[in-house]
Amino acid sequence: MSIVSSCQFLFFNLDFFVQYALLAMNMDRKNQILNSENDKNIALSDEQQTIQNITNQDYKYGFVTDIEMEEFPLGLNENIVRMISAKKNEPEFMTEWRLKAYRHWLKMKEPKWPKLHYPEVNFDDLYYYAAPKNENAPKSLDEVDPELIRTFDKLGVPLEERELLAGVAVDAIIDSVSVATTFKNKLNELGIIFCPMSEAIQDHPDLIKKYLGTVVPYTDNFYATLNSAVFSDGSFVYIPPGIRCPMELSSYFRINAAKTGQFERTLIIADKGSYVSYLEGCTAPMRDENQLHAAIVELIAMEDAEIKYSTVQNWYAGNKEGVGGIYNFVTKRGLCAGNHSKISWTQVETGSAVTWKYPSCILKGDYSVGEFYSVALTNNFQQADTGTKMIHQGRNTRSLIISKGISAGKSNNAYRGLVKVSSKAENARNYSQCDSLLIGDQCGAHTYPYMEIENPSAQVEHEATTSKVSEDQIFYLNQRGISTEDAVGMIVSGYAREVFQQLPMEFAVEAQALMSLSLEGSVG
Amino acid sequence: MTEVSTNFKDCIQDQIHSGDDTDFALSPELRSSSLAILNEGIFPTRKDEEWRYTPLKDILGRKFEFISNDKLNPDLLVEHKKVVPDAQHIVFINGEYSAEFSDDLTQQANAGLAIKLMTDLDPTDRQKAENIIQNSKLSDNSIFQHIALGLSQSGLFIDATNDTEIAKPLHLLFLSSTAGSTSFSNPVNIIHIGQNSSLKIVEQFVSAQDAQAVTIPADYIHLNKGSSLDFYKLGLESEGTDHISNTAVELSESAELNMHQYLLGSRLTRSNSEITFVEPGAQAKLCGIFLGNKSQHLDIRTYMDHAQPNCTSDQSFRGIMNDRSRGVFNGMVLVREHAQNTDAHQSNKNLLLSRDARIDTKPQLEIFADDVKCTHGATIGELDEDALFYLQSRGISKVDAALMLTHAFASEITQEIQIDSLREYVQHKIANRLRHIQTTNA
Amino acid sequence: MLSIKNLHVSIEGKPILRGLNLEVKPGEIHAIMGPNGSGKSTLAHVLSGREGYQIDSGSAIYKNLNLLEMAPEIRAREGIFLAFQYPIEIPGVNNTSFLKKALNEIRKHRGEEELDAIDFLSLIKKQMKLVEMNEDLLRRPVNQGFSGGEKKRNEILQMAVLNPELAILDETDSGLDIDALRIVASGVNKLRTESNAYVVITHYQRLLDHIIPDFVHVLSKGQIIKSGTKELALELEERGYDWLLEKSESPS
Repeated sequence: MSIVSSCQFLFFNLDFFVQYALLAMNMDRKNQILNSENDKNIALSDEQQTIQNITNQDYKYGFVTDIEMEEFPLGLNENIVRMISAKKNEPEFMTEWRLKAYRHWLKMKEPKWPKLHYPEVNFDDLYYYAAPKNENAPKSLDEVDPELIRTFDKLGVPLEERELLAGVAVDAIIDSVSVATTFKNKLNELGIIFCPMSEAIQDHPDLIKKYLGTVVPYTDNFYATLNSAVFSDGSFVYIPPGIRCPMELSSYFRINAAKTGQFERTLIIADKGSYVSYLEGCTAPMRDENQLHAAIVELIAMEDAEIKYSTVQNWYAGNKEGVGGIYNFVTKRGLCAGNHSKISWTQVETGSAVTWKYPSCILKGDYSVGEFYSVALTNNFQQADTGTKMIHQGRNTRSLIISKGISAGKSNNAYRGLVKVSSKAENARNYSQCDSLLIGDQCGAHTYPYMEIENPSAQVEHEATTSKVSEDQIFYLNQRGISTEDAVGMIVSGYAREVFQQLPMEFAVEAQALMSLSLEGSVG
Repeated sequence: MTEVSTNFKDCIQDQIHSGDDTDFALSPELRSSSLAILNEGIFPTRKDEEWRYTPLKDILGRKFEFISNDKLNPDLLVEHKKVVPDAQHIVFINGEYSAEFSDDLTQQANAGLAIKLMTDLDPTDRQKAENIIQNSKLSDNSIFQHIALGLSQSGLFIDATNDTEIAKPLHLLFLSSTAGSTSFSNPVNIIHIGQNSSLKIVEQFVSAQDAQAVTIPADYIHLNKGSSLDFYKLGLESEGTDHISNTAVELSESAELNMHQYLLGSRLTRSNSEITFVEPGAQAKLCGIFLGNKSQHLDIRTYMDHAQPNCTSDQSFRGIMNDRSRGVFNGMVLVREHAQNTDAHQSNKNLLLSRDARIDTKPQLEIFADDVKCTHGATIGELDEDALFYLQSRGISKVDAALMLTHAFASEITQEIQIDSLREYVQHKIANRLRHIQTTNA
Repeated sequence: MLSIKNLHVSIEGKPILRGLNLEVKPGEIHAIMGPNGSGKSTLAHVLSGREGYQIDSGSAIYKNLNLLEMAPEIRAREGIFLAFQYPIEIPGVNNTSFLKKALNEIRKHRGEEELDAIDFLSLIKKQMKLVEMNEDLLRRPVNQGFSGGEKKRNEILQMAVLNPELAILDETDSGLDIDALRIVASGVNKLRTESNAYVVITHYQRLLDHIIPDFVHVLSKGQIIKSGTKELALELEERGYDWLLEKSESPS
């Protein structure tokens, strides 16, 4: 059983465990034993620990599906851009927008980040479009290519079971085209739009015209501009005014075809007074060739709206010698457009050979709130340069940054973040805590906070500490009968607890499991 | 000797050809690589990470004129010497050593301390001095270091022998005095402290009220085993000046550095201090205040290189920015592989006192060893409302209360100054400046 | 149960234990006393398997197992428990989760069923009464923010839950006020059975007023120089260690 499916079973189990096990118990006993909410949490978090036992030496998701891929010629030019757009039956404005981005991209240079070292990407040696060769988009699970279903089975996210999983609707993406969307009807009733981006461009062109590229303009940065030109697909979410989305929206991404750059584009709009929680989880098949991933996520929160965006990222990180692995160059940005709006990013980054990612918040509305919770774990030869930008523009805006870096092996892990308070942003508040944990003496942990403050009423505070997994801690746990590997897993999970608490339960479980998996062989 | 140049870059080119080898502070061998960089003439831009927040437009746009040190009012010096009355005073005027106003170098005011002009070194001393420069590799290898190394025609070699506690502080006064024309000074000072010896140095940069000047000094300091140095730097030049300095310090085993910087002066101040632990078990304490008004730009950069195990560093810098001034703190703590048992702390706290003031702070950690204790913190904020109210509730006016709290904020640093007269002077200077703030804001 | 024969142990070439002999049988309480630096804590660490000690010669046989070759967690699962002199803080790791994990590892090792959360919580709540511990401490990270006394009580709570066969108490009395000392001691006394044994390492006699030892051993310079019954502890309290040390230094 793979981790994901077991996690979901566990989610199931936990849910039942808490609700039914407790119901089944004599109420007196329940009150006697679990006399606080906290006890329940202890009971829950205990179960999470057991998941850590499901560990295996090799990358679990390392396999390639044998679905026939439809591929365009190698390389990129205006024709390819037009072909991508035509393939998706896009309206003219979209084709033009892509072309504008492409032309702009030609003038840009790939950024050279000081802390990241990787062989240059040859952009002429990539395929910019790949889709499962199934011309008729499936209307239901029955129509989905059985091979795809088997892929999901291997990944541990069997779609049949998903429908049973209360509260989770999944927009599953293999490579570039969405193949199945569940719970659509239920969401439709509430006026919620949750569909593949390609579908949204067809069905909701007004929304796309109005919002696409407004948070991350096509000129934003090298990878974002490339994405704007060639983005394949992604998710589109619109929550109408006053609606609280009743379930966690979820999308599993996956890179599949060899040499296929993955250019997801996601846009989430939470209209006035609405709420949505979105989960993004990644697994990728093992390859010896580096693969490029350059996604864009744009979030827009109107007045009183809240968006919670959670990610567990576990793309293939390369092998123990540092060969292979995904290059993950992602632009994620949220705009708190309205007063009292809130955007919260939570990420658990354990995968990819190279990660370059700064989920950000532009706090434009008065009293708007931005949050960033991050656990980034690197092992072997992985490199991560990740953090956030909190741009305070409105009055009385607040932001919180909790970053927990974990470095093991010969990896390098950097937090890079910006807190900017513009001159008109009265009474801005920020607190940042950026901790690093080192495992072994071959790795690096770095902290690069930038604070640019132009308003005297701002209160901005940054703290950072560095610690290691101490031999004394490991021995203490050993002496109580716990193996070294489990001990390290416990200590690391404890260290990152503040962030895991932000994740929905099934993600928290998965995240902790991934951490243990990613740390294998790093101690002892 | 008056030369008129159109701008800063041309002025550098002129300087390259302005003397014989013997006129320069350093040997041709050492100067050659600096000259190559000067000939390229590339100045940092805001795309350079280390200069991200400090634009050089104004300094590069300056009109230049060089002038010898005439027209000096000696009373000015008398006042400045009082800052550290019981000291050996050495005076530079517009970048040139002034025998007239300095205590006689040949008369050793301090036993065990030899002070020589860089232009006047015997081969043994030159070797010793230039070795210290050669071993120092600044991480900020911008052109300014080379303006001092390649072009300096003045400076001191300060050499403290072994096992000696040098009692009298060394007071180095750098004065820019010309009005109406621009003076340019770029002294190179090399300081060598022998084993188990201790020394106190006060470097005071001042200018006449109406002076136009560019000061680009560089100090290279080597502390041998068990030695210690108290190093105070006062930046008090007037607003017609720009000041860009580099200080490189190497610490040997068990050596101890206490470095203070009080930067209140100049239109543009950029002070880069780089500390390298070249042997285990040393410690460095860096602290300072940067206090800006009008449209001053004050940039403090520190680079703490923990290259060896068991060393301790502690940095505490406070910025107070008023009017349209901008402050920059750019601090790096690097813990290299194998530098186990490092204990490094870095703190930067800032007060913004005006709507148009700005602070950019970047406290950074780069860590490659696991058994270390490293923390850093930075805050930016207003005065504590509760504290203000508390003082007001005791009958103190809001303006006075704010002044008291700002004072307290600064004095947590200044109280660490070990030379009484200096401490009083610095506190007095800060108080004066804050009083100005009070009146302009009222 | 435990048989230590002629044990020689050094740290970085410096001998600490120099031919130590000790026999512990089920149901017994052995007190090990001695001046600072005599090797008391080294003995506790060596028995529990801490790294950094060089075993130069000798043996320690525990339940017919060669103790010195076993990994620390295996020793723990075989029933050896060390109450640490300085219990370490582990940020973020919940005290209860940790203890449940430990107990289930030990139960698995013994071939017993693992306890689920409900059974575990009821067990731990019962045992907490033994050490009069505040339930809040269960919800906090392991030892983090605990006072000195709370840390020591937490050690005894863990002992009560894990139910070891051989418990080694390393200066558990240090840093405890008299009330905490009484609570810790009464916990130990309640946990005492015919089949488990205690090695109580202490510098002072006062703990032995509360935990009555069957045997008292005096450790000096890495050897047991005198063994006796509880009266020996009283004598030490009165006369100090010096009279014994002088005796041992006289020509043999």
